[in-house]
Amino acid sequence: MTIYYICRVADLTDLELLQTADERLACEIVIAASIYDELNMDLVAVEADSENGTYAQLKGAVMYSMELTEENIEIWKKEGIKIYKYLLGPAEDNSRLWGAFGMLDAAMDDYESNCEQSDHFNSLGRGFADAVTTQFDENIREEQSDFASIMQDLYEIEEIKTVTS
Amino acid sequence: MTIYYICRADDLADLELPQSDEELLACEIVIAADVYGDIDTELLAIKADSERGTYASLRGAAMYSIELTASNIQIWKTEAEKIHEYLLGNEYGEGHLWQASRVMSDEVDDYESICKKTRNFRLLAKGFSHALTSFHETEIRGEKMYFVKLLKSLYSIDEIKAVAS
Repeated sequence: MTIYYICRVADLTDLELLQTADERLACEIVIAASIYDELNMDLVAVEADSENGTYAQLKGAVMYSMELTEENIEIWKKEGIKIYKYLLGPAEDNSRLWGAFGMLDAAMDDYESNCEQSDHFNSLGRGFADAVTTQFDENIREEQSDFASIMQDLYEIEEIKTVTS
Repeated sequence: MTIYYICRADDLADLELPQSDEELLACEIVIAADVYGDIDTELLAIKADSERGTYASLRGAAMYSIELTASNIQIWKTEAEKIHEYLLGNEYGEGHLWQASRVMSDEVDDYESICKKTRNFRLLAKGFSHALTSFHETEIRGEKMYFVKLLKSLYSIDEIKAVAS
């Protein structure tokens, strides 16, 4: 088992941090598991039990810690990443479920627009899209939240809130 | 204003009845307005105020009457036909909305199948199927029924139940 610290690249520009495959994977998993934290900055992973890890911690650059094992790496490759693609990514708009819902949403918008522009059928389509959009939006966000929760347990992901500088 | 009888083609096989554009339109509108009546037979329109109209009526072949005017024909072309394409579309009632929701439904099926096959994420994928079913059975069905009601009113479509043979 290896514990990694996930840090902002911008906070560690003074280090040369070539990322190994496992370190890149650690970042990928933390991004996948941190949906509501909007991790839209560049991240790097450093082994916690290393000089760079101690340095990152002292600089206050550590945002998350996470654990990788052979077993949970395999779970990501065989299970997690497939579900991630449906729910989130690489970018939420590109996820398979959001993409399919986007088509439905566009069709509903067009339908409502045609109804609104009609003199004789403008009583149709009122609030139609709103009800459906609200329901699917809730469904997908709940799924994302449940997925994040499972990921956080599987990879022991913890947010590091208090760091010394 | 012209009143048409809409008849089963099988019941009038002894007549040669080439259909004008307006007669074809009369059939199209009645089919659109009879979504839940399951018109699964070939139809013909005949002017009610004609010898053939009287013949069809006496034969008990008239299923519906419909009124076409220059004004309501225009409404079909400029308004109703577009809405019909979204709600009903083809002979199976698969309009643009249905087709878009089909894409969503396929993605949800795939997603649910993937989740169920995993050991760690099998508890995900709750609620999507229910939301889609609700969309079809409540939202789209409700819109279709309201659309049909408006069509019946605009074109004075009446079912002919009692006919002399």
